[in-house]
Amino acid sequence: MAYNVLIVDDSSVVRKVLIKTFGLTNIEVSNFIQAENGQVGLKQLSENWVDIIFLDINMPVMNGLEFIAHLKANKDLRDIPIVVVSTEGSKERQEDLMKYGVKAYLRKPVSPEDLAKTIRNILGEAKHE
Amino acid sequence: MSKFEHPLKKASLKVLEDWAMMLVEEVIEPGPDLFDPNAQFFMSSVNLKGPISGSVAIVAQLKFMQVLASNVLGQNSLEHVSSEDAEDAYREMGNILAGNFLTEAYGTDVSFDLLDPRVDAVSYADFGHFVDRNIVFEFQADDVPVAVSFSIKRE
Repeated sequence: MAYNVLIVDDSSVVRKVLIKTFGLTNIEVSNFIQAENGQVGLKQLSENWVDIIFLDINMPVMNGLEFIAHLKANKDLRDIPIVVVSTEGSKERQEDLMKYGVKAYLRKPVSPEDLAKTIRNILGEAKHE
Repeated sequence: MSKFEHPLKKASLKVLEDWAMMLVEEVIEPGPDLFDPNAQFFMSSVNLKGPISGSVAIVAQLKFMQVLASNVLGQNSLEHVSSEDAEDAYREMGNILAGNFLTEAYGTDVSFDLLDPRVDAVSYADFGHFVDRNIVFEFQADDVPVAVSFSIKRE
């Protein structure tokens, strides 16, 4: 079984580009689940098993920080690793996000190499069954 | 030369070449001549708030937006690009450009908020005002004109 990946971003283009970037790595993904904001992301998590979450911060309805807070308050969801994908790149912001329990931070545009390295660092080598 | 010129140019080239996968040539004298006078202009803008406040903006026409979306989505034909994807890609380009510009200008030790990314239709006259802003670079990207700008907000 390959990974199930949840992508939470209000831009459909960003979600599609990230999926395309996965295709340029050798990371196997069995299912991409998409959500346009944190609220939809939580709904998707109630219906789908997910191995890792790629998350935007600035979103309408429920932003990334609110989504993280909901996740961390749920014992069934709080251990799912989160990777923030953002355009802003200050060390201060990255450190703040790590305090929220984010596992990694990727700057846009995301390269296939950085994406693959991040997945391997967090989840190890790709699973196969 | 303003300290923001080199970062803006470098970030613009990075976004156009690496993210949008376009062949880019700089236009020496920015202006409306390379644009289609009969086509609508669109501006993608992002406001910046931090040690300084300002905005990063891109001005282009629909053809650029379609080529941009087609490239980033890996589509073979402009016919398959929806207007929603074209606008979304254009808005996202503004976001990515702003973030990369700030990193080039200030490094990673300074935090900024990137606010209100949006795409608006603008007039030919608006484009003239755009060129009159502090810093403007114009490029031919895949033979389609696009202009980028950074302006500081005067309090």
